[in-house]
Parts: sequence; C-alpha cells; structure tokens
Amino acid sequence: MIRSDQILKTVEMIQKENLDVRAVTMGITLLDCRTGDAESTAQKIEDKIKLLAGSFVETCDRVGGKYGVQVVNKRISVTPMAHVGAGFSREGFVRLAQALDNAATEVGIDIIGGYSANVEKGISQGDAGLIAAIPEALSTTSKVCSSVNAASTRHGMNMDAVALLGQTVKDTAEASIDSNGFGAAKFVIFANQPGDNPFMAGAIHGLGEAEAVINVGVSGPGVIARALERRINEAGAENLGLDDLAEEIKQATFRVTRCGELVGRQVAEALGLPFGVVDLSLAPTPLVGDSVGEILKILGVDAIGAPGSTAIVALLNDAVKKGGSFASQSVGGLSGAFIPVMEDAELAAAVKDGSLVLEKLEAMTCVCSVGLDMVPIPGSTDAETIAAIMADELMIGVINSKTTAARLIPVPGKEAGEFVSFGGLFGESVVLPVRNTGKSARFVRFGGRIPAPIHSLKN
Amino acid sequence: MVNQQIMAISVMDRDRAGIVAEVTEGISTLGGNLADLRESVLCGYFTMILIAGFPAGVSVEQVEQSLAKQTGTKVSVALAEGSLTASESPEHTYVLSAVGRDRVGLVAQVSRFCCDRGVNILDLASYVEADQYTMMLQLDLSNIELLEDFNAELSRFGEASGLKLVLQHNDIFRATNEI
Repeated sequence: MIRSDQILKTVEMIQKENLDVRAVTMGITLLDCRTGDAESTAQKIEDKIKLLAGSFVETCDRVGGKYGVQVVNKRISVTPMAHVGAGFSREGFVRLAQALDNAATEVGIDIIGGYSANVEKGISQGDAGLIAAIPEALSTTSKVCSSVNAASTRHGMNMDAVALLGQTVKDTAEASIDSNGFGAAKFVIFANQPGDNPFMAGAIHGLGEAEAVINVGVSGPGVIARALERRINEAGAENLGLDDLAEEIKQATFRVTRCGELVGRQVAEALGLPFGVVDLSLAPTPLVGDSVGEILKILGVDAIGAPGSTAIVALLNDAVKKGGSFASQSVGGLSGAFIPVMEDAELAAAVKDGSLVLEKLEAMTCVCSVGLDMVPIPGSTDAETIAAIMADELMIGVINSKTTAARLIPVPGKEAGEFVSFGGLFGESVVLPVRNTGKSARFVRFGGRIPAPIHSLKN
Repeated sequence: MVNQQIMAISVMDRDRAGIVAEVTEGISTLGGNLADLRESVLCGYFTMILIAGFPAGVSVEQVEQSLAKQTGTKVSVALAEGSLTASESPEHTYVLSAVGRDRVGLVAQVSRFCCDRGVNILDLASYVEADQYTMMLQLDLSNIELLEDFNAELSRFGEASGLKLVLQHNDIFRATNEI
C-alpha cells in the first residue's frame, strides 16, 4: 500500500518541481528506404516514418495524461543518413533532409535527428556528401538535427574531419544568419557517439539497433535541487557532509528515472515496439528552477565556475548515474549531467557575469556529459580556432573513454558579451569570449589522425 | 480453511495502549485468522477495521460478545461475502489528490462527483494542516470510457469547488516509491 505522504511527494515532484519526461524518442532504421535515386528514396523515407510514427505523438500524450507526467518532447532518430544516401550528390542529401523535415512535420514531432555520419577514421564519399549538404540542410529545414562522430577511444581522432567540420559549423551558422546562426544549434560534433541517445541534437538510430525502438530521456534538475534544499533546511548545512547530499541526489534520481521508464515502457507497449534505454541525463531547461547550475550553487559554490565547480559536477554526475542505474532495467545513451549554456538559465547568467568561461566549461565536461553544449561564440571566430576547440573537447572523450561533444554556435555579426536568444528550449545567453583566437591554425592544418590512446598505463 | 466464515469487525474507542492486542488475541482465541487490517488514530480516537475468517460454528454474536468483553468497548461485527485473498487494485486504479482551503462539505462534494460518474472510491485518506485540507482518493475508473473527458470534468469541478485536483494512475506511485 502506498502511503499518503509518498503520494504527496510524487505529486509535488511533478507539480512543483518541474518533473517531466524530457524526451521520448522513437528510433527508426531507414536502410531499407534506399533506392537508386534521391527523390524516390526521400519518398520512401517519408512513407516509412509516417507509417511507424503516425500515432506516436498521440500515444505519448495519452500515456503522459494517464500518469500526470508531461512528455515534453516527442522525437525521432533515424539511421545515420550518410549510410542511406551514400553515392547521392550534395543536392540529393539536401533532398533527404527535406524528406525528414516533411515527415517530422506530418507526424507532429518536435525534432528529428540522424542527419549524421561517422568519420572517426576516414571520410567516405557518402560522409563527404552529407557533410557538404549540412549548411543548406540545416538552414532550410526546421526540425532536422545533424551530428557527426569524428573521434573514438578505439580509433583516435580524424583531424582532417575535425578541420572540415570546423568550417562546416561556421558555414552552417552563416547560412542561417537571419536566425542568429540557429542552424549551428542543431549540429553537434562527437567523440564516442552512442547509437541509442534520445537527446538532440545528437540522437541517431545506430547501426546495431533494432528495426524500431523507443528510448527515453529523463529530466529533473528541479527535482534534485528542491530535494537538496529540503534536506539542507531540515538537517542544517552544518550537520551534512557531501556524502549525505550525494545520497539525497541518488534517491531523487531514482524516482525521476522510475517515472521516465514507466512512461517509456508504456509508450513502447502501446506502439508494439521494443523498449530500448533510459538515458539518465540530467537535462536542464531555460525555465527558472530547472537548472543544473542551480544545483552547483546549492552544493556550495557562490558563482558557477568558481574553484570547486568541477568537483561538484563530478559528484552530481556520479550520484545521478548510481541512483538511475538502480532504478532502471536498461540504461544507455549519454547518461550524465548536461551543462548546456544557453539552455540553462543559471549557466547563462554565470556566463553573463563573467564567472563561467569557456576553459572552465571544458574542464567541467571532463567529469560529466556531454561536452561544450549550446555555447554561443563570436561569429568572427575563424574556422580553424573552432576546429581546435572541438579537437580539445573530443580528445577529452577519447582519452577518458567517454562521450564528449561540441555544439558551438558562432553567432554571425555578434561579439563576446552580446546577447543572443533562440527561444523555447534552446534558450538564450550572452556570447562567450574565445581567447587566443587564430593561434591554432598550424596544429589544425597538419591534419591526419591523432592515434588511438594506449589502453594500459592509466595515469 | 474449509467452511470458514468471513467477518468484518470494526472497533472504535478513545485511544489507549493495548486495544490492538486485546482485539487480535480475542480473535485468535476463537480460531479466527486475520486477512486485512487498517488502524488509525484520528484526533485521539482509535479506529480499526479488520477482516478475519472464523471456523464454521462461530457466530457473529459470539465474536461481538467475546471482543466486547476483552476490550471493554463496543465492537461491531458483520458477516462478509468473498474470500480471504488479498484484494488487488483493479487495472484502472487512479489516485486523485485534492487540496483546498478547509471548509464544510469538501469530502461530500468530491465523493458525490465520483458517485455521479460511477467511480468507486477504493481508499480515502485526508488531513488538515494550517487550514489546508488534503484528500487522497484511490479511485476505480473502470466505468470511465475516455480519461480525457473525465479529466476535463474534473478540472471544471476543481475550478467550481476551489480545489486543486490532480489525477494520476496508481502505477506512477508504485514506480516512484517501491523498489
């Protein structure tokens, strides 16, 4: 029997503490849509997505209504399109992006991911075609997200690809100059990209996945923040150690994860699809009270980015994984705390007051998920500097056997300190300064590959 | 147990130590087997209802008299239908939480709303804190065809009655509170 105080705790978690299911993502394989030309392939893609996901949004809403937990985003991830469109021209790849966008609009989802390639060791003709199409694809569609994996712990980093992608990020931002470079907000470069991640912009339906699958991304920074505040108020800060607070995070995460898994499994069952994974990521939104940055402050730094911030993020990230993995039957995706600057009001405020800088963000990503995320930088930053920032971030993942990523937005015509807003979940922030620009060109121009790291002598 | 009789027993008295012991000892003396029991102390008043199976031949009057003697208070006993298997929540069990300013007639209003729509109340708990009345009702919505319609009616009812009402399937509470 469930006690009334337990019922109230759950009701409060949902009503007052912003608990929701951040994303239910349907992964769909599109390899069988391939024909001899882009036009008929595009048609088959639209048909297949409509067939499989026709009642997806309605199902998510119905299940969410049943449990009183909102499914904020309904998304689709597909087979990396470089595989589907290999051999097509750049224009052919743009056509495929339009097909994804049309299908996404038709079935009513928020966003679709998988306009993607894996170039960790080399760039195939299909990969090159897709990458060449990215600036136009992302600036002429509204729901398509793109990601490219350019490095892995097993294979090292493809610096030729990173150099190319630095230019692609810049071109994508400039192609969407009318929306402050928003195209680049839908484009992310990875090391060790997982094939079952439900979060955008990096969701793909990996090649090792089933025909179709339902994955879930949970949320809950607000729930964790309120749980910590309650504990500190009740016990008194002087009577608590960080281990006590880590335990509180674990317990709150357990409840958050259970909610997500229940909703995800019910959606999967209703659609007759297998359930894939719960992604344990702590994903913030720009809403007040739904911030990862706020948790850092509660855990004892007065400014985000102050010494101690990295240690706190590590504690938080680890406690989330521990609480979540006990709660869930199958965990995957990115699974960690996100620190996306524009999507987190407290992080954005810390950037504005100068306490959080690019270098400290990079340090914090060593111990959490998922990397330099939603970071607006000056539009004047040169492509080689962008590539070098990406190289630094990706190597953190390569060396530490974890996923890292870079979603940098060189905002056209804006300089450090100027304000940019994309609205909704994409949020807003002032542009971060990039120090030492133009000083990494020789490194980037070497190209080639950074070899895979040694897997012993771990220091 | 063959030919057993199921009885529902309710006990109410000013709260003191020992009531549960006296009642349950009395039941076991008569060969009774407990199936389910709820006990609460409401504003200092002890209330308990329980279900027990007794061997054939034990009468309602016998149980009533024996327990009254044992406890020194009035005990009501009634024959109940059914078996001693634990009652499981029906598939369409939802929890309705209702919070509002305390006033006369809140429970009556909510339960009338449910009754008019063929919704059975399986469990109900409530308490008052700082002038705020909180109710938690476990409801069987088997007779509700469309949850959306019921939710819409509920939200109109909430506005009219000044109650904040939240309806969620029972499983969400199990998922978040049970290992």
